[in-house]
Amino acid sequence: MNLPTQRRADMPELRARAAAIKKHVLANLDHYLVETEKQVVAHGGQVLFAQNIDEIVAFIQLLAQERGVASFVGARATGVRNEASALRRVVEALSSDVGAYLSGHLATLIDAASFDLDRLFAAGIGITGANFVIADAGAVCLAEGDDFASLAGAAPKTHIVVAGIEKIIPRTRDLAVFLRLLSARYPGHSSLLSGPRRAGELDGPEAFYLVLLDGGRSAILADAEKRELLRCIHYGACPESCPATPVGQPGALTPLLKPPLIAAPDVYTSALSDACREACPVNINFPRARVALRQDALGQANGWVPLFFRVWAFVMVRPRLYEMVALMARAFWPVAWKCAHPPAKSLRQLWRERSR
Amino acid sequence: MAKRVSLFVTCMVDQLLPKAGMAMADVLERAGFDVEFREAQTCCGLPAYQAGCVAHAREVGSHFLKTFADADYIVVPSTRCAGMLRRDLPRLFSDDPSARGDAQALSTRVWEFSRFLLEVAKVDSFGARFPHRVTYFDTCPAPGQTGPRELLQRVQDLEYVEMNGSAECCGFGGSFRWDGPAETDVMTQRQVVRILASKATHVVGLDVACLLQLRRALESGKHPVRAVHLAEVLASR
Repeated sequence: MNLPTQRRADMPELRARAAAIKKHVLANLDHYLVETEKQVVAHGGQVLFAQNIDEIVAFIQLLAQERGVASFVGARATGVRNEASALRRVVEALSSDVGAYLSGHLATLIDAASFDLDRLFAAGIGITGANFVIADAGAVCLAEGDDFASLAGAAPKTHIVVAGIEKIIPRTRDLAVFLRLLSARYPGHSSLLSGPRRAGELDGPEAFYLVLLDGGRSAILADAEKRELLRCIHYGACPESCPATPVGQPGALTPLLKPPLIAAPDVYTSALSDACREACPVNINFPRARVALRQDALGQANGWVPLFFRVWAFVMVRPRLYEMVALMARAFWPVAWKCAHPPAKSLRQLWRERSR
Repeated sequence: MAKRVSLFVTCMVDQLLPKAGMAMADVLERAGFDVEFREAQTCCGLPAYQAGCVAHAREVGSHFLKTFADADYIVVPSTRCAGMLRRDLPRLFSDDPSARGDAQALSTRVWEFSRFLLEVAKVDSFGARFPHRVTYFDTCPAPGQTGPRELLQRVQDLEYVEMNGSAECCGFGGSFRWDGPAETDVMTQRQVVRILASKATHVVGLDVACLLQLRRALESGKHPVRAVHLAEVLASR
């Protein structure tokens, strides 16, 4: 899906600030996790830390049993793919017919065709993702399209938010940066939700749970080469900028990134281009991270690639051996590539003749 | 005294497109440089780096550093290899401060051919004449560069045309040619159609991998268009 990205004059500045904020949070995540929990509790909610999706499902099932709840609704936040798939898995594990509520790309409470307010208000538990978790307010921010995903949080008696730990931003005012960035691409509105209904309030859930999902993120955080991948706000410009997009699945998540973490281009397409880095709203150096990801993949695969490059490096640091091997390889080149023969002489041969 | 320039021709030009490397030497000599070719040179390490075999890339990178330690300018006929040497090589030695320092110092002396002509040599005319209709094919690492187009337009009798979608991948894309040959062939074919639509007789590029990929497709389709390196155009008269 190609979305027009509105050009904004202040884009370079917004990007630099967004990147700086994300970098700061990731460097101090321990502090902000504690701060988030403190503020959510202060607003009457509860925070859970989950290692994986199974833990989330188990928690929700337990909660549903306790409260005698049989129906769920789910919604995800704009553009947030990994949360969408996490949420989908959560909801599918709970009840199969809720799956329809999670389709579509933009924010998406319910497909327009199956919009059913009665069902929404009858649901005992509403599950949403979040674009941002705001530490100083103990709140979550949902960027929405033209429907009201936030109703999935506001209408049912219990609101459960599932968000990756990297979704935390320090202050409410930081939204001024991030929502401006998102709005260039995803026109719509945003909702801030915090805690359950308070005394005197007319609506809102009776209970509010924020489930912060690790799902492999802390391991990525510990890796200096890959850490900045966690800045991702699922803006989605990277796969579109890729010169190889027609081949690569736009935004395909590779099996390397288990659990799905980022919406960046496939690590095996577009090996050489920097376009994704230039398109990134939070300045992630994806080409650099991609090498680290491939390094991991090789460590797991143990196939012929490391062996090939071991031999290759052995040859490449020995110029005479290189020349001999190259001479032989040139004979096979047309067969391997189904193309015309390479020139009869290599450049080094031509140079020797020229120097004579 | 004329300034000394070292060619780093890359393994691909050395073996598969030596004409481009020899042309590059001619152009640099005409621009008033002493051109040398160091026989110990092999590869920049990019294939291993791209595949994630960082340790083996480092081995080959060290060999490059040793070979060119005392070079003044190192001129490279490939955007991506130059990028590897300028930007990525120092990063390979993050655990070894002294090698990292060497790599950093050397990286500032590595120049991609067209940028060297425009930013260091600053030659206005090469006395080149190329009476053909020419289009430029961008390479993924450096899309939309004005430099090579500028250089082409300075060539006498050359008719320059812009092709559509020149910044899209040629289908080679590093190792990804091997990961999905059928799909990448579709991309290559699309670029061939666009090149033919431009009615150019020559498609010019700065990356040997792209040029070979295009050449292979043009040859197998028996199209009369030739894929040539920028240096070959600038050296012709």
